[in-house]
Amino acid sequence: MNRNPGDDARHGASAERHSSVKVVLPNVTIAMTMRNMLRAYLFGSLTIEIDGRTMPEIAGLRPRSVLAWLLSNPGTHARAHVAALFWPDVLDISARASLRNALWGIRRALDTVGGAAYLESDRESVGIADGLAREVDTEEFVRLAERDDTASLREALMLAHAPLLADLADDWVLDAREEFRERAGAAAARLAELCEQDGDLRGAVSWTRRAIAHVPVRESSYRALMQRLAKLDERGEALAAFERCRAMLDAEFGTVPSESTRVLADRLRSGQGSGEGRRVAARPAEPGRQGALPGQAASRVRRSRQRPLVGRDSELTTLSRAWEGARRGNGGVVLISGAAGLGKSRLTTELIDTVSGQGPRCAVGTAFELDGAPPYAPWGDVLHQLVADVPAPSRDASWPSDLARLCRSVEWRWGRPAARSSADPEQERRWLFASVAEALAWCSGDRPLLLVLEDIHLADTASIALIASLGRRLTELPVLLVATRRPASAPAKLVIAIDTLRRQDALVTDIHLGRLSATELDTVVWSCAPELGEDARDRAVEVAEGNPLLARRAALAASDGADPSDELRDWIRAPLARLDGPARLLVDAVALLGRPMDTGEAAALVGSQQLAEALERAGHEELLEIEARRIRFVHALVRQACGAEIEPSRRAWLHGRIAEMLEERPGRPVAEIARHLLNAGDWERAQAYLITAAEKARSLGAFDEAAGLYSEAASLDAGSRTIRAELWLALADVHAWRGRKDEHDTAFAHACTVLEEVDDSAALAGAYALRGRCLRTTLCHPGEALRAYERALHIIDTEHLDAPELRAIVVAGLGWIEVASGDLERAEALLAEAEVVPEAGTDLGLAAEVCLARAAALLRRGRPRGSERESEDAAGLARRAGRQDLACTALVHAAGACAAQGQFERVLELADRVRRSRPASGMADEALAARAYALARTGRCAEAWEAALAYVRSVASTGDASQEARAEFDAASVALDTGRYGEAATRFASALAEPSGQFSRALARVRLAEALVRDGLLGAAHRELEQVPFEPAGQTQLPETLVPRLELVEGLIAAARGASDRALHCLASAEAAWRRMLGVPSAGEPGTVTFVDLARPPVGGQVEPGVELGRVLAERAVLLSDVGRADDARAAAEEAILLADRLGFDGYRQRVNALRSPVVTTE
Amino acid sequence: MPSFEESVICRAPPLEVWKLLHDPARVPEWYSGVAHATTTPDGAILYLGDREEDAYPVRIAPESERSRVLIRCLITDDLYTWSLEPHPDGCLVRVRVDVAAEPVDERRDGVLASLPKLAAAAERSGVGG
Repeated sequence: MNRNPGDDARHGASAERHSSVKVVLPNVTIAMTMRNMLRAYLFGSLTIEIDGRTMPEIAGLRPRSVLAWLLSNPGTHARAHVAALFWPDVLDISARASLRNALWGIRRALDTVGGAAYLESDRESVGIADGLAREVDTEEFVRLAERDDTASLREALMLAHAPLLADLADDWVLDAREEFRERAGAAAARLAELCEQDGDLRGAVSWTRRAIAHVPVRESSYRALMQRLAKLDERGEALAAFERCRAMLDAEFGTVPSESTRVLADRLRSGQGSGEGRRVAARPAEPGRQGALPGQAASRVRRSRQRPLVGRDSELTTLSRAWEGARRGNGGVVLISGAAGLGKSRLTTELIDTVSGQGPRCAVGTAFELDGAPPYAPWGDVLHQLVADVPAPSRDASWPSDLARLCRSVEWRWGRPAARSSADPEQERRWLFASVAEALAWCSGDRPLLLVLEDIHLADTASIALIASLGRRLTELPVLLVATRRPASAPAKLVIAIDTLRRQDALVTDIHLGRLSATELDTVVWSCAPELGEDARDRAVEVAEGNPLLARRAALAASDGADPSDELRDWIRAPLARLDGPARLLVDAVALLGRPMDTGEAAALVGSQQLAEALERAGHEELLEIEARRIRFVHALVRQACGAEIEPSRRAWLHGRIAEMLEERPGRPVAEIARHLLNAGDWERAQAYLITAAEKARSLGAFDEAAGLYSEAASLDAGSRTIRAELWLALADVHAWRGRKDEHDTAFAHACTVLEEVDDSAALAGAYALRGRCLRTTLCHPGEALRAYERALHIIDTEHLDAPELRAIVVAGLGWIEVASGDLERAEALLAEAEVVPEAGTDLGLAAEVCLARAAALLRRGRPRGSERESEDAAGLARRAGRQDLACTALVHAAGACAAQGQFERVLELADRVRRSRPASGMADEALAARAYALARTGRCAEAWEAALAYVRSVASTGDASQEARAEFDAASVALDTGRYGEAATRFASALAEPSGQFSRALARVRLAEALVRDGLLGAAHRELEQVPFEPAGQTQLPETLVPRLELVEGLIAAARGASDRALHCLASAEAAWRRMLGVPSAGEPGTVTFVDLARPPVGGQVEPGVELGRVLAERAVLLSDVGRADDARAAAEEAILLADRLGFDGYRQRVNALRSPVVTTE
Repeated sequence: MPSFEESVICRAPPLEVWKLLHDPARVPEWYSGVAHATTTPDGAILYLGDREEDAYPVRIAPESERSRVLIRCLITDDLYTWSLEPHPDGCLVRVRVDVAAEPVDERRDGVLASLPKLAAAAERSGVGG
């Protein structure tokens, strides 16, 4: 293996460590102190030496990254700042606990070579000790570059021999790597200037070329190169540099060189050199063969592939009609379904061509044909195009910052950096989805929008969920989303998403492309090979079997003299063989990239000057085409065939080249880089990129994709055991977010096994704490959560771990579990213990959580007033901690406490406060739900129904079927309570149709039965009741309240069937149950007890036995009156009215009043 | 953890058995040794026997699977998993008991005594009124 000068520098330094104080290397002189000297090499892989002894590798990627960051950022730093930087997606205290663990690992590694003193830390701060001697190559680079003399700049550039921290792929590392690449480019450019001043023009040219190699997209470097070459009288070379500049600018930015560069080129052409000659008018360069622009080549490529659209007139008419609807503001989704080669893409291209005269804005995104593609890839593609074409929205709008997390062009083009991620990836997903909806509204504000998403059967589940979430919004916008798919390969998620779109009336049409007739195929064959004889044409038509793509390829093969009955792969061998180096490289690279390649990427791979010709040749062979600066295969089948022709060794090499290219591209698609590094066999670096990609996916709420990426990283035979343990734990966390308990258990078990093997008690305790949180929150297994937390606490205590933050987290977690379903005394003791941990005192987020837990405990104790106050306090603390999500949760909790006190006006007030805080948050939906409930409860039926519908609409934008089902359940409850029985039945049934719905299914069956019986559908109601035992029902769903509710419905059915005795028996049983819950065994003492499901406040989670008793009494009064028991009827009616008065509930008052009046009159 | 399973066929629809399992007030009708049951303020169900020391708080545990009711004793940690299946004669009631502490036989005896009472109570409810 070749060693570069930087390697020499390291090995030289190591070899000389015992004998001298200065090491002189070829072209590099580095001062060294032999005693108490830390030397850090950040260029290349991170290497640390203490007095010449190499520090062993730190276990874990994150600790290594922390050390590199501390070395790159001299001075002391607040622990909270460093923790938030490296663990942004968790609670502050949890991040601090992780930082403590990482610092412990760093100190241990430094200590093995006697360098522990270099890590300086106390309770609040951390940094590399200032007073001890150290040399960090990046600091040395900066120092040398600032000296601004030839020798120093040369030395600086020798140091920057390799990419910064090549073995890490954290975001900060990638940013720093880009920064040092820029710095190296600037140093080379400055060195070139100094060489020129010294009269060393050859040297100046050489360093200018180096500057371009570091930063290939800076026009001024090309201009300097042209000038210096001209001074050397090398005009041909200078003009070649101009052509490279022009090709680069066209490929990268779609622009032409600036006027000053063009003027210089004109002077060179006219033989005036770079001297003081006469200025000439700028004019565009001649488009010669050598200098043809990709765009110009594209027009030739497009001409060569022009082909008529055959046999798709009716489909095009349908599409055009959908577009007309969208133009009028009634957008939606159109699916084009069909097998490969039937012309789905061709049809969308025709639509774009047809409507382009009407001035729409168009954008095309393609799902990657690549395993483990980044989440939202096709959407990122589309949004990048839109953002580039649309002015920035007002600074007042917050959504661009959310959108920037998916599409970095938002930062570059609109100057809006990405918002910091919160601790709740679910919420991040909602914000992201909402931001995409807002972006589409913004981009369609001045003209209609036509979006094309190709091959969505290949799309990641997050992209598919996003499509589903947009459905309803699209129907209100001038936006048509056309998506192509192969039905045979459609994943289950896509089928569900299509169903969702259909339910939302957002699916405008689903066009199924069939096979073409022989006559139509004959037209296809003739259009591309008119020279073929009739027999050859017939043969081409016959082998195509109705597929226009195959007909075209068969015709081209026949035209080449090949047998049309060959396979597609045979047909493309001849055209591939005709391609020269750059064109073949381009075709192979596009085949392996798995998505359209933008021209900038292609230029970086094959050279900007070679690109136009390569593209022209590949286009001439009908392999590649270019559209809107995106190079792609004419068809996916052709891509597959070309990909299959690449030899394994060349394939690995190409993947490595593509990875290198992508690493230097703006935006750095980390998931793609990981994929290509994997295919290139570079597993160590692939693992680092997979981890970064997984973290990004998780932070965007793309859990399926994150799980896939973590799994893959964990399964690689790379990285230390500690890294693998970190990966298994991260995977366990993601599985918890996905609600996959079994998979969480498996991943956690793997992590534990590894951590026990490496005997890392601190990490093991942290692992159990993480498991406790997962089981307590997302997975909702309080019993197992309790055991996990207890195990964490046991390890902390028996191993005497110095882990105060972790202890506080564990103790608070235990407190929460006790609050939810255990011993309230113990809960309060635990919460108090968590609060007194000094390291936890500064964490307002934890303080807010503890406060909220205490509020929940008070509610459980039946003290809603105190609970409301604690909830308000928790909201205040959460706001101060910057935890808007937690603040909203606390306010919703306060609303629940108010509802429990019967203060429904206050519920409405709190709900409005939540809604005003951040419209896209999940808690804002909860606030809408609370509003609908409170309005229904207070008899404001029309407003309640309007609020319920707003709630359903808002949740529909999440694309989350389980949440949508819960919203349907809540809306159905409002419908039932406001007398919309048919609507209620439909919505309960819709909620029950979703198996993952987050609501009590048993209660939904009971309430559906009630809606049906009140609508007169007795048989259907009875059948629903029969299903109740087969639905899950647990303690948190207040199962004891289900029985009397069920008995009320049984009573209604029996009464409607004329079985009065049975009906009265059921109602009496229900009445007795509610009375028991109220603690009042007899009539006349109505109470105000309220049961609250802590997991689901306040809608659907609140049961008011007094109200329920009133409902039963009202029904009983009616029935008694019907059977002639007037006195009993009157007594029941009187008590029902008394309850209604006391509880402020009007739901049955009118009915009972009407009933009571004649009874009273009779008396 | 030792465990055992028992079953009974009940001539009443599953709904009637389900109501009995979920209604604290009706536990004494079918659970052998329980004279009284009540819901505690924090939502647990307290089974009370004839003797003062026979007080067992239980909870209906969260259960995501269909057709099963999980009841856990908060003192012994025993877990009773009840499952109901439609049967031509009415309903097949199965119970699996995971015994945490006490001798298994004692638990089995209790279950064997309770099952016929559960079936009888459900049958009475089915024709009640």
